[in-house]
Amino acid sequence: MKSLVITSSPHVRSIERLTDVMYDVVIAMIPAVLVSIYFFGLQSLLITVTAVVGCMAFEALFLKIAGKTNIRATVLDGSAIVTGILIALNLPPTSPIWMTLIGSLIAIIVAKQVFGGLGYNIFNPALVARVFLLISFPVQMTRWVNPSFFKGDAITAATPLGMLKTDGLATVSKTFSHLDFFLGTIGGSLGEVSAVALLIGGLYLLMRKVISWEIPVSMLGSLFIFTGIFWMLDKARYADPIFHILTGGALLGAFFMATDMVTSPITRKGMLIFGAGIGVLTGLIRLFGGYPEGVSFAILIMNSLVPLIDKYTEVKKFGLVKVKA
Amino acid sequence: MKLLTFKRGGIHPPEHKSLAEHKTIERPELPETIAINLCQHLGKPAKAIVKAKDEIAVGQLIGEADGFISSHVHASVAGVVAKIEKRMTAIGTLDETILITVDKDKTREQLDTLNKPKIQTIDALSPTDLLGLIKSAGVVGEGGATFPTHVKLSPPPDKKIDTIIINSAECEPYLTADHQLMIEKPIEILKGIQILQKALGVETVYIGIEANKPDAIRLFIEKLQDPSFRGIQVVSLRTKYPQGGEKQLIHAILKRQVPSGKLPFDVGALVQNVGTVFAVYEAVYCSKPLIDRVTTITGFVNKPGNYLLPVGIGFEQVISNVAGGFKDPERVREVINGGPMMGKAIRQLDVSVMKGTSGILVLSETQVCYVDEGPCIRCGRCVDACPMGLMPTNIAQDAQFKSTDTLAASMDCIECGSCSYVCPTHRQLVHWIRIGKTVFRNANRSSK
Amino acid sequence: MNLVIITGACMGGIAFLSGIVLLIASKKFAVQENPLIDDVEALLPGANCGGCGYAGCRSFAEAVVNTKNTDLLCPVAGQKAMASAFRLVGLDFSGSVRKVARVMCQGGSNSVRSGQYQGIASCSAAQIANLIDLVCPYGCLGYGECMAACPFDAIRMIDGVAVVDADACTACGKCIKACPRNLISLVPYDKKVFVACKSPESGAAVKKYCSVGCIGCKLCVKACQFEAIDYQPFLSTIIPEKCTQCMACVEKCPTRSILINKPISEIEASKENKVHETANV
Repeated sequence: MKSLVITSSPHVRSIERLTDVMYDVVIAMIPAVLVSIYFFGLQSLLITVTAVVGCMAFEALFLKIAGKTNIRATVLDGSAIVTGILIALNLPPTSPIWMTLIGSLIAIIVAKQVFGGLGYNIFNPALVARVFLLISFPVQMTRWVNPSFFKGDAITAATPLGMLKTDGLATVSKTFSHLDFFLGTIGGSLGEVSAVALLIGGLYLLMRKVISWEIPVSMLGSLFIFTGIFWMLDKARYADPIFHILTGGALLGAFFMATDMVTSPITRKGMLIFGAGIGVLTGLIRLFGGYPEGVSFAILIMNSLVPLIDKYTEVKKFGLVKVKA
Repeated sequence: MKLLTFKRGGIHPPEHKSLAEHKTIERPELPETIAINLCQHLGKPAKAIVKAKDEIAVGQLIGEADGFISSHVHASVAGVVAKIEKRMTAIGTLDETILITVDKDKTREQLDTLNKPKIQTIDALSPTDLLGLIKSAGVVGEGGATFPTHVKLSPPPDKKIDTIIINSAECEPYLTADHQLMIEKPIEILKGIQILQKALGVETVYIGIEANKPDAIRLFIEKLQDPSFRGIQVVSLRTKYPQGGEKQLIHAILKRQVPSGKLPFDVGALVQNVGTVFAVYEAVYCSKPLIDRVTTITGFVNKPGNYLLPVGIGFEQVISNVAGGFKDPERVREVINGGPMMGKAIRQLDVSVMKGTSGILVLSETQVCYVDEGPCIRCGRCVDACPMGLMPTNIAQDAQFKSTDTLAASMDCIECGSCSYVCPTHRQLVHWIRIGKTVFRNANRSSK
Repeated sequence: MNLVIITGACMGGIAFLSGIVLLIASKKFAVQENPLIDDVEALLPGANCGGCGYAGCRSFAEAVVNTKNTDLLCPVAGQKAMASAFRLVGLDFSGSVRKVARVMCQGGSNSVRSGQYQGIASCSAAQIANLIDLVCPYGCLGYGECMAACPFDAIRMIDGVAVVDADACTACGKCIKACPRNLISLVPYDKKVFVACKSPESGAAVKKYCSVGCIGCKLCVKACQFEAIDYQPFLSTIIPEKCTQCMACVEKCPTRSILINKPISEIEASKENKVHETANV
């Protein structure tokens, strides 16, 4: 007999592992990726593959330079793949390859590994990459095309939110219907166009208990209420709340980016506050800010508040009750 | 029937109870020698009162309680003391141990007389007499913590106990010893409960049984039809780990929360394990000290089941002769004293069964899944699983990086292992929290 | 042009006013400090290691100046620096005994292990949960918690036992606190003879788990002519003040648990040889 192993209790573990969690997220994003390929063609596939390969390669490179062991396991744990797909879903379909690679570099090295790798990053890596690219390459990042499938050859077009900002509500309602937003026959980033694909993925994650309902519900709810109030005040000027939920990155953010475990609060109460904060900030930026879209900024701002939220929403300890005299 | 449960947290690990479930309790062959540790309980070790070459009888006092929180130790066999030396115990400490060469015929003969009830009722005995009998029988909590029962039954005078809870939840996966004991000895257990009622002067008793033991629940409801068992009620509990945790059980049944840092008697409750109750019965009715106990031997062995093991029988003997040996010795990785969630892995097989050994679990290489720790991904699963409402990951991180911010909370940890169980990156949360407790205690001591 | 002048004047004015406020503040709230404290602090290494027991070098310097207690010692700066520090505060001080940390165990591959611990690789983690593969309940666990605690890289793990490099050791005491088994103690640097065992168990028990442990045979007590051995049941300890390093006990010890402290390079070399020899066999 071999010598016995002594380990700390508990001696049995749940079968769920980190990689299972990560690959569940990957599976949940497949509908959105497929829809983007369907609408934007092979260009979309190319961007996705570039981003994923780029993220994994940069991670491996960084770990190698930093002298870490166990590179293989870390690169294959799925987190780099998730980041890669998220970057792709956040890019416009015309993004050049070099820009995708720069995005991967920023996400993995600056936003993730410099902080200490998975689990220690403060900001969502994919969003850091998106915001970095948006600020550095505003032209490339806002060159939208209409989905080629329905409107013949790809032509340059604005996203509904961009159109709302520049041309006003009347033009938007003339151009699109709510069904367009729902199915995704609109301009936008790879992963922003089709609400239905994102909903399928989100429901899968909820079903698999990878994410909990708190963040998506409170984020979309607060966005709905916030934009709804302004819509009630002036229906000619402000778009209706359904429009705000279906367009832009609201659904992508609600299900895939705000729910990133590492950069969101641990407690249920904290998640509610976190989601509500994102919803309100998104609404503020969309209605009154300089950018047409504000989900990524809103999530990043709330990311920075997570430690504070965690501190004030600690779980109530068992046994903290008054003793009856 | 409505299933009661505690509110916060909890997990549902695979039960694996079918391995040993409903296997009749067997009494194994006696071994050649037996090694009885003198520290079978929480508190101060007992003092040896025999010496080498002494001839002893079954049930003879061989270790005397030393101090208030301590307990007597009795011989589980008849024979001759071979020697007294320090030996490794099943909980990993090095303690004085009495080795006895067994006289098998004599042991069998004496055990037969010892197992027979000597009295028919307890009407003639006062509460003090009962406590005295329990104390001299060396009864300790058989659930695993092995707290001396007579101490638990003598709460400070200013604490009024109004309810006794019998813990038959047996929420640990794999273990079935309590379940089988309930099936085979219901009347004895109920008589044991009557002893507790009388000793404490308490009327209300709840027997908490997890819903995965419906036959036990039915049996007890049936036996309670007898009007002589007054005040006793069976409650079925939802199958959820750690339903059998003392504080969780009180919360589930009485809806009272034991305040942080306090004990069950602060909310007027007293919890006793069902095995302990049986030992109390034997102590009073048969004048038989706690010298054997029902233990589940299960996992990667050929003959898993429930066995009545004499205290002091070696693990090696138990596994190879009683439980039919390992399925494949080459593939055995861990042997655990207790259940898989809170039991302790032993490092060598030459340790002996103690009063607190509720199970001996053998895990093969496919069942042991030790993986190096990953980083915390802040998924919050441990927070959701913690039955004590703690933030295990924060405590663990503070313990790891030697900060004392959240370590005060670690003192409330019951080390049930739910957090480590659910962690997707296999962090050793319970172990870190244990370290956190020590760090916190030391920091407190030096600041005082 | 006007704008530039106005802006410049405004900024200059603010700067001037702030300067005056700062001046007043620095005069009004000035703290009178003994200049000697600065001088003493200059002699200290400035690493703020806390080895002296004070919060940092500054507070140690304050203690030296204010208490003039010659027992104070900065383990890092050493005796010479302390002598000049005390000379600064007007005391004649020739220095005290230099101390080093020493690990009172040489178990390692000489001791019996059973089981295989998997988990958090630190001594205190294993000790707290009692998840120990070393059978000896007193010996060095070998996970190197002291090594990690040492700010001067003076501890190395050789053959599963911590060994202190006496020349690099500054006796700051960090390792003593780190060791969960209390195996490390401070001894005078010059006194090289020590009992490398802390097991108070009887000889029969010790022999079961370690071939180089103190078995309490008392041969060293008989051999020593200077009463330099403190014998508690089954464990000898050498009293450094009385030891003359005559080596009588070292020669008599049947388990070779009394050692002469060697430089770390020699210990390393001898262990390597041993590994080499066993490999050849």
